[in-house]
Amino acid sequence: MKALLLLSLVLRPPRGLDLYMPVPDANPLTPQKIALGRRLFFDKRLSLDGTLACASCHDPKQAFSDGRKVAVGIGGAEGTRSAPAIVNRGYGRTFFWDGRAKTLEEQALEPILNPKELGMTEAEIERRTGLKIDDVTAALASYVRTIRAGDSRFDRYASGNPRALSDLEKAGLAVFRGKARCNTCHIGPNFSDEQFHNTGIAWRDGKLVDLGAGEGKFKVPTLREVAHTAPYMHDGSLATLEDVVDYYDRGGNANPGLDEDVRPLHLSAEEKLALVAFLRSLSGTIREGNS
Amino acid sequence: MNANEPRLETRLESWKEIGAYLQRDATTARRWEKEEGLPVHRHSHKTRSTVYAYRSEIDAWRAGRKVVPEPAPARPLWKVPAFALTMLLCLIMVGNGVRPVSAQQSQTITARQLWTGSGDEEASITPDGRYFATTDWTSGDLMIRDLSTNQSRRLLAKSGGWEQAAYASSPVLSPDLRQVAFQWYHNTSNDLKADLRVMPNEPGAKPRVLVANPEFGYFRASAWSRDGKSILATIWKTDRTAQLAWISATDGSVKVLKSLEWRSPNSSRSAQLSPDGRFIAYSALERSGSTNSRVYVLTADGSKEEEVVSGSGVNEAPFWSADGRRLVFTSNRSGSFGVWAVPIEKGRAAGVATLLKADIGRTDPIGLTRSGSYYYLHTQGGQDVFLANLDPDGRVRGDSSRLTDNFVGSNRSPVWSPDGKSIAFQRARLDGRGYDLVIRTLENGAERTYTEKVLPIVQVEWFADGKSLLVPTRDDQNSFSVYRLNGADGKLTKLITGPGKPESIFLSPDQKTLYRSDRPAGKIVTYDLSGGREKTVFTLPGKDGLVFRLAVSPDGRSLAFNSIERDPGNRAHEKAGLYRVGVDGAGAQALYTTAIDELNGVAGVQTWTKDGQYILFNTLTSAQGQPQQWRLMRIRAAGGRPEPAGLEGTGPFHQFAISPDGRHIAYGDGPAAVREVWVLDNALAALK
Repeated sequence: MKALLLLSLVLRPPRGLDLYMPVPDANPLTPQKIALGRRLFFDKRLSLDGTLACASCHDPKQAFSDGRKVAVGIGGAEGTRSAPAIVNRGYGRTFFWDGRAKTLEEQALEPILNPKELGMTEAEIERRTGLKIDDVTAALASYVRTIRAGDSRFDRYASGNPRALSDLEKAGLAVFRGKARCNTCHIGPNFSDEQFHNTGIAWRDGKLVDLGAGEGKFKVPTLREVAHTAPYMHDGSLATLEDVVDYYDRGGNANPGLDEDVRPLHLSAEEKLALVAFLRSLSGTIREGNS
Repeated sequence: MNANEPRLETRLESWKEIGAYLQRDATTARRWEKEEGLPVHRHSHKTRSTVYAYRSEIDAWRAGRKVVPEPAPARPLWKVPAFALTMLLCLIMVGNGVRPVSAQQSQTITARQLWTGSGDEEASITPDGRYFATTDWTSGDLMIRDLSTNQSRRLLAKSGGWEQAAYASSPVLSPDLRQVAFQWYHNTSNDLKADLRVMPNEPGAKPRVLVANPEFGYFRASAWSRDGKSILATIWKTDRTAQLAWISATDGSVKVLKSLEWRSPNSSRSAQLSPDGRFIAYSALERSGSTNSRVYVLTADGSKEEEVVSGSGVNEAPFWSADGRRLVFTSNRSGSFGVWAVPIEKGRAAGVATLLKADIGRTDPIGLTRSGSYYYLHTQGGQDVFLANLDPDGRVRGDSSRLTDNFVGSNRSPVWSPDGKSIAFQRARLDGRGYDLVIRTLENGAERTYTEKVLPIVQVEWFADGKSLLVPTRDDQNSFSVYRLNGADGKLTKLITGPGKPESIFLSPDQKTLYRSDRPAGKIVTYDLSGGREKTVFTLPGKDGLVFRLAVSPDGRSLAFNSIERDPGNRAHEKAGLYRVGVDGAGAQALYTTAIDELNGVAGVQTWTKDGQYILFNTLTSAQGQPQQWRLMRIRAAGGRPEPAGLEGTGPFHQFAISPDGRHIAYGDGPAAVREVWVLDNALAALK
């Protein structure tokens, strides 16, 4: 009973997020599992050479991303995609940039087992942790579910405090929902429709360089804490929020499968400025673990 | 046959036929309509109205018609021992496994109409079936109707009509019946705002604002918590995404249970709290843009959720049975809309769905009472497409005829194909979610229906190739898109997207430019179809004008449009008018203006004759105490006096389209659909 009460307090979400978060029946949240998952998340024994942990690429100080263009695994091996900010993934419906995992449980082990990332085997994980692999998976997924970002100035504005956003940020919100139509994809409490779109980023010089979820489509990332998750896009190819806004303003990289909602926006300099200001207002509080 | 198409039946076309069907005379039929709600429809057209009725509706009315029982005589004393003997025999039979047929088992579902003309899809019914909380649409006031006495009382003592700035909606009574939660929708500085309020259930009591947040565009209060401390509501945000939330009845604080994004169906499908207060049932689209919807059960604290009704088609508007063990919902899973029930145990589906009542038609469910009476709105009437002959000078000649008898009351917005052999028009979906596009071949009456996820469509135009259509749509979010629909394969190609509402959008004769009226901004803007760039070509002088209803001249050089020039400081100066302007925005000319009172603020829908000499438009006159009179007028495009063009009625008329040869006119006509309140008694009888 005490544990359940503690859990209900722990899981009270920050302002702006839903009370309901899908949790599979097979892996109910418990304080013990969350605590174990947290320890594992920061445990470098989960990398083959003992140099990296999950938190190496998903650093709490950088909104659970790493500030690099692409992820770097053991031995300095570079991946091809950036480490996404894993905030609010408990609300997610698909995982990884290409959506190949359908649950956090499916997702949790893959980077640990990937030779270019943490390079482990299931047997080695069990040997080093003394835990069964299913328990490791369940604990990591449980901990990731507790990583929730909210209570931003935008959330306070949306809760009825008109002074929480500046006039410039409010103008940016209008651009976000209006002329720029960012909310075509970045909707809901997590600012993502959890869908996959070809925005042209995977196309370089007329060639598709990363298939993604197919035809160069990639998952719409959350915009929570976006000011702290540079560089941007699945390949980290855009260094700043201003670059991102410019990219969409010019209609993305032309290609045969370009999403029909990606087209020139004709934003003015003032509108771009306001839009970036609004995006910066999406930074707030991140809660994680049993804290 | 289309999967959603209702059973076609021959109509009874006169009082005489209706009376004959009832085996009574016409006078009795009229009296039964007046006194007992016999379902009779009227079509007002030109100078007289005609009545008609559907056999199935009369059958339903007859089946559910109240028969007042005769008073039971006092039970004679000699019957007491006989009764005791009967009871003893029953007990013996039960003991032997022989069960007498209970009164409940002998009950069957019966439909009866309660009243007509004041339907409100956001009404609610108390669990005991006694009180019906609704909006009084003559005033916009809150109204509580006592169904046991049929007496109504208004709570707000609101003056004026609903359209004059404010109205209350989606009222729901607290469990102890002492309070009412409702949305207050009001006009502030030309912007509609909503807030959620609570007031004592007493006429004239003072409401209290619970939530007033500019981010929240619309509320649908649907239940109170059992302790009366919180209100369950769906909140539509200004970006049109929806959230299920608990709202504190004390301080208005909002706890969002679940964000539905753009998956929420319309406001008449509210979330429902289970009788034990532990679960919330709601329906939502399976994904944004889908036409399929599903039913979900969420724990009241938001900790768990289960999908309890899935599958393709529409599954929506769940209501709890009194024991909390079933959810009753509407669905078209059998090919037409019916009422279904699914067993529920601990918040999960505990079996398959069962059909309770088939072929219920276009409905907006209101509620299910403890006794199993299922209240709903049934929509009757509405627009249809008519055809008439037209003289070259723009005058209608002879009588009009209905384009199709399919889905009567559901068709609108006709447009001729370039070869004049087909007409594209829109047909209201049975689920109330916008319109399908239909192309009808005039020669043989063949119809092809396009049901697209991008609906609701606003209006369509043919491209010159005669094979594709321009389809403007209102997006889920606050923006619009314009598509090209390939008639052969139904494929849609997006042409442009823009912010705001689509209003009227027309294609230039050279097919290179779109013209759009930006109504609130008082502007006409163009879009280059090759690049989508927007350009304002005309702005109505003055700071508070509206521009709407564009029509491009056949030579592509001029635009006709309607306007309203507002003057908030002096309403007597406000004018409605018909204007002409060059497509480059030059040479604006007022062809006809009138005081707004005379036009009653209603738009004139216009078109050009094929020779470009005349513009046809709509006027409305509404004399005190008289029915509204709509009239088609014509005016020389160069200016002059408007004159009647041979078509009038109680309308209103919607969209005129002249055939390519200029000899025929198609138009939408018909009054607003009438909402009737019905009840299915013993809705759960099929399960017993």
